[in-house]
Amino acid sequence: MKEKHLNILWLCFKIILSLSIICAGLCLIYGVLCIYFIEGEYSRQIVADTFKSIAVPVYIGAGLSAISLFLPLVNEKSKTKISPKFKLELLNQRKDLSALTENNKVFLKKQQKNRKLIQILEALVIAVSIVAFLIYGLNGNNYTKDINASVINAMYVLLPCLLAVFITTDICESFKDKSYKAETDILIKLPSLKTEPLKADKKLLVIRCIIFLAAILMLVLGLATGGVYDVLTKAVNICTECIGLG
Amino acid sequence: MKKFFKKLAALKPSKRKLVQLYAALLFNANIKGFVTGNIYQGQTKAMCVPGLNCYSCPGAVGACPLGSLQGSFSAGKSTIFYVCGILALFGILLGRTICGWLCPFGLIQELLYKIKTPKVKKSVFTRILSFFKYVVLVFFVLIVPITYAFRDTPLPAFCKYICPAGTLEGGLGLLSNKVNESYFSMLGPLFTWKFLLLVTIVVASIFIFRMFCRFICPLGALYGLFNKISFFGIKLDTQKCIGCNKCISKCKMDIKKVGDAECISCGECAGVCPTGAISFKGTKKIPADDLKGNIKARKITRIISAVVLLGILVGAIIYYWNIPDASQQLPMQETSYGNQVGDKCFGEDLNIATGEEITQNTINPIETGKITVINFWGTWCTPCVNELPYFEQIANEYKENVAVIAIHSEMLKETAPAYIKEHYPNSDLIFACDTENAGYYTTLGGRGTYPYTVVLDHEGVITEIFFSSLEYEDLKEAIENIKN
Repeated sequence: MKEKHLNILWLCFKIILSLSIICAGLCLIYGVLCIYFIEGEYSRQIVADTFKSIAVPVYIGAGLSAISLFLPLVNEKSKTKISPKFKLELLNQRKDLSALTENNKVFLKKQQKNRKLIQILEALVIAVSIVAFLIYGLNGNNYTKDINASVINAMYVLLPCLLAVFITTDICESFKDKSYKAETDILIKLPSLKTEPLKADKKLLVIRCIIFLAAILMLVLGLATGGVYDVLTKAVNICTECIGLG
Repeated sequence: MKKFFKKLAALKPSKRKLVQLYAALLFNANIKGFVTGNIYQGQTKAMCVPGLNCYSCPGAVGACPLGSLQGSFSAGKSTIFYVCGILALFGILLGRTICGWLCPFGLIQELLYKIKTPKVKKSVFTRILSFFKYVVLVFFVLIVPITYAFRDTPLPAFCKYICPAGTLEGGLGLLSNKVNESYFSMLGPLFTWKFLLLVTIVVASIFIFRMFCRFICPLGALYGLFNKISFFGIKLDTQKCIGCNKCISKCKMDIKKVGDAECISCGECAGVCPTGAISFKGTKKIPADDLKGNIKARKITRIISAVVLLGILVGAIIYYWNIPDASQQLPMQETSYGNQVGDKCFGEDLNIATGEEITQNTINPIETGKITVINFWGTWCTPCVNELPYFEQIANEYKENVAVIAIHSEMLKETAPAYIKEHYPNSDLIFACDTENAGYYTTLGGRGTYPYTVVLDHEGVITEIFFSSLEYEDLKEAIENIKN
C-alpha cells in the first residue's frame, strides 16, 4: 500500500477514534445527569444499571484508545512560531544598533511608543477588572451562609471581568506582535556584534538564597509552633464535601 | 520483524515518564488502602507532597499542598507558616520542574494525550487562556478560603468545586470500593458537577496537551512564579541562542521563551536545540571525548541508582502494607460494639468540654435514658461547622427527651474549645471529647469521613446513621420516628 493511502487510513482512524472518545465522554455525562435528574438519588445498584445502557460506546472509546497506543508514532510538527518579543530581545543583544539609519531610528521609536500606549491600555483594563473583582471578592458581606450560592454569585462578577481582560489582551497582543515584527524586520538586516560568554548572575543567586532561607525559616517556625498538627488532622480525616462527594 | 521491534522500541517510556511513574507510586504507596477502602492515617501525612495528589486518595501517604494551604487559613498562623514554608521551599528548589517530573495528575494527562487523535495546537488563544490558572489561584485558593476563614467557616473552594484530582483519586477512589457503599447515599449536585468537570478534563486532555495544568492548575501557577529563580530547571544561554524557533515549536506548553513561567522543564527542547543553548541549571554539556571514557562508570551509577530507588519504592509499599488499620489498633474494638442500624451499643464515659477547658465531668451517652444524637465534627470541616446550629436547635427543642452530643475530632487542641466558647457559650449541646485514638468514632462505624452522625434510641440501639451533612428536618424526622 502506498504511503499516501496509509496516511488517509491513519487519518480516518484518528477521526473515528476522536468521535468515539467524544461520544464516550458525552455518554458518561448523560449517565450521571440521568442518575441525578431522573432517578433522584445515587446508589451502587442504580449507578450500575444506568451505566449498563452506556457501556457499549464507553468501552468502544476505551478499546480504540488502547489500540491506538500501540500504533506507529507519527511525527507531527507544530507550526508555532517563536515569540516576536523574544526574537527582538535576541536581536537587540546581537546586532550593532549604531548602524541604524536616522529614518529607521525614528520608525523604531514610533513603534516602541505605540507599544507603550497599547500596554498602558491593556494594563488599565486589567487593573480595573482586578480592582472591581477584588472589591467584590474581599467584601465579606457578599458571602453568606449559603456557600454554594455565594460562590456562584461571585462567578457572575468574575466571568465578565475575565472576558473583558481576555478580549483586551487578545487584541493588544496581536497589535504588539505586529509592532515587534516590524521592528525585527529592520534589526535583522543590521551587522552582528561579537558575543561574549554568559556571566553568572549574582543578583539572581542572592534572591534565590533569600527566598530559600525565608522558606526554611517559615517551615521551622511552623513546625515549632505546631502547624504540622493541623495539616495532619486535615489529611487523616475525610471532609466529604471538600472532595466533592456531597 | 526488525521493523516491529524498532516500532516497539519507539514506545519505550522516557526517563521522565519513569520518574513521573515512580513519584506517582511513591506518593500513593499505601496500596493496601485501595484494597481496604480506607485512607492512610499515619504520621507521614503531616508532610505535603510536591505535586497535586489528593490526601483523601486511599493510597496517599502524604498531604496535598493545595488542600493544606486552603485549610491553613482557618487553622491559624503556625499552619500558614508551615504550609507556605513547604510551598516556597518546593518552589525555590524545583519550580515547575515538579509539574513536569513529579506530579501524578500531570502524568495521567500525558498518558491520555498519548492516545492518537488529532491534537489541538497551542495558539494565541491557548496562551491567553493559560492566565486563567492565576484567576483560579487568586479566587478559589486565596480569596474565598481566606474570606470564609474570617467567618470561622473553613472552605477549601478549589478542592470543593474544581479539583479533578480530588474527584478521581479521593471521590472515585473511595466509591469504587464496595466497603464504602454507604457513601453513595451522600452524593448529590456537588458530585454531579465535579464528575462532569472530571469527564470534561479527561476527554479534553486527550486532545489538548496537559489541559488542566496549562489552563486551570493553581499549583502550577504558584510554582510558575518561582520558575525563573528556582535552583533547578531549564535554562537558556541567550549568547548561544540563534533564535531558530525549534525549541518553541517542539514545546507543547504555552511558553514564550524557554524557562518562563509556563515551562515545566521537561527537557524536550534541549534535544532539538542545534547550538546546545538549552540545558538544565547546574549542568554542563559534557564533551564527547570525556563521555566515552565515562560510559562504563555512568552505566554502573545508573544501575545503582535504579536499584536504590526501586528498593525505596518497594520498601515503602511493604511498610505501608504492614501498618495495621486505625480501627484494628483500638482497644475498644474487642468489645461487642454495634456499628450498623439495629445494633445495640453500650457506652463509655466521655469527657465534657465547657468551651474553656475539658472538665472532669463525664457523660455516658447510653446511660442518659434519652434518645441520643451523637454528631462527630471538626472545626476544620465546612459541612460540620455549617450543620452544628441544627443540632443546637434540636437540643433546645427536645431538652427533655433528647441528648445531643457533639464530639470533636481533635478536642484537645486549643482551636476547638475557643470555637465553642465563641459560638456556643451557653448551649444545650453537649460538647465532648472522644476516647483515645477516636475510639467512639471508629467503633460506631466511622470510616474517616466527616461529618458523621449516629442516632440511638432510649435503649442504645442505633436507629439511623448519616454519612453526610444534615438539615434540621432530617434530624427532626429521625427523632420523631423513634418517638412514634
